[in-house]
Amino acid sequence: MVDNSYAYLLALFALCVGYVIGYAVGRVDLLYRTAHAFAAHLSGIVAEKPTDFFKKVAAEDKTKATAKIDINTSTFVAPIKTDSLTKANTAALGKTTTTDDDIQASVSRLAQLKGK
Amino acid sequence: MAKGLDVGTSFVVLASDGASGTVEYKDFRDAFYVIKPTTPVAAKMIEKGLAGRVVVKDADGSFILLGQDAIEKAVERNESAKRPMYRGVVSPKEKDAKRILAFILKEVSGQAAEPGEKLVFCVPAQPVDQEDEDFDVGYHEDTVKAILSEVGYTPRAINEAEALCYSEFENDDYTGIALSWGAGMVNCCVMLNGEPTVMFSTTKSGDWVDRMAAVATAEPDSVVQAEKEHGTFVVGEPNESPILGAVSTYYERLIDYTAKQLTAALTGHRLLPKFKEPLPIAVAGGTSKAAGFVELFAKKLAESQFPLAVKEVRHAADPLHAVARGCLIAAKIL
Repeated sequence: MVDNSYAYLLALFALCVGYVIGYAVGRVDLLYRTAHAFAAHLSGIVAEKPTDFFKKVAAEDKTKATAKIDINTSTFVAPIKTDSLTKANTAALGKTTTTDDDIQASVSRLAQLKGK
Repeated sequence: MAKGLDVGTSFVVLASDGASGTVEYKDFRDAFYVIKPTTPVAAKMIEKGLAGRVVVKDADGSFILLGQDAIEKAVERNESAKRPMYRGVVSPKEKDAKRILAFILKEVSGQAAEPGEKLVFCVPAQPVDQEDEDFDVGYHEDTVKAILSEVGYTPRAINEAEALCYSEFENDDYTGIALSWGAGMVNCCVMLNGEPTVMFSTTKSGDWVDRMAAVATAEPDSVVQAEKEHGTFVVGEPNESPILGAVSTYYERLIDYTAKQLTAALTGHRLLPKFKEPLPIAVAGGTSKAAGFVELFAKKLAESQFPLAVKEVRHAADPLHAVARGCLIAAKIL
């Protein structure tokens, strides 16, 4: 009976000692990390906040955009051959008319507005 | 030297300097009609019959009538002439469109007077009432540029209604709204002091009237077009001729539709300037030549609660040549 009580007390004592040591180590670690963060802050090194997956991808795309390679999308116009078409007679294409109209004033006014 | 070229669905018009104080215009109807002879004897007979008309021979032996002659021949045969252009751009529906358009443009504009002579031609704006994969202004512009470069020009494109603004708003400080009512589409440009601010087009115009009237009267489009151009009618008024009665009715519907589209497109438009004065509206183009057109358009515009104050709706001094004239003015400033 006495032997059993002694064993229980010894186990309880060991548990308490273990808890106290563990608590002390935890506090010291917290103190160390706080001190380290404070020192880093003072020296201007701020740890990057973790971001979500999509934000990270967007950031990567932004970097790639600087080296974007464009494809030439201007229209391809195949040669249009009219050699096979020959006039069958001398009839003129189009009716020509002449009107009295001095457009120089319009040209000057518009050029002035457009700063040319 | 410089030239202006209106590359329209129905007409190609070249504007150039004439003798002192004059402008010379060359008009050509943008149409063709192919006759394919079945035998060598028939070919000889057809060739004789086409003497004096504008006709070209193709490598396969067929005859291609061009311009007004094409329309007249098509009407004679109760058929419709073909067009190298459709709704303001090179037609994707006609196999021969590019070749025929190239031939017409080269013949009408001729060789450049000097290498690199400046030539400004017009192109339509993107339509607001239809998303059509066949409608490719960029391709059309590049095609016309390639054709004109071949005959020695340095071609530049401007919007059709912008050219109309340059032609019609000299006395308004180049401020106003221009509407070019072509055969294929209506082009609109809002201009402030010589700077285009809003440009767009709608895809129903004179050809739509012809098509609808042709369906209603069971006649070919060419017959309706010929009757419309040579007959007498007032837009929106009844007519004894069934064809002209149908044309008059569809004209009114077209004007109503376009006025509503303009109002919808410009209401709350973020690029629309705040104008201090009421604006003049100038209309031009073959479709606008019908009697009563301008008056009815002004009325429909007022009824549709147009978002801008309007000073007047007026017809261009020369409705068929105004766009080409504006292209010529632009070419001289380049």
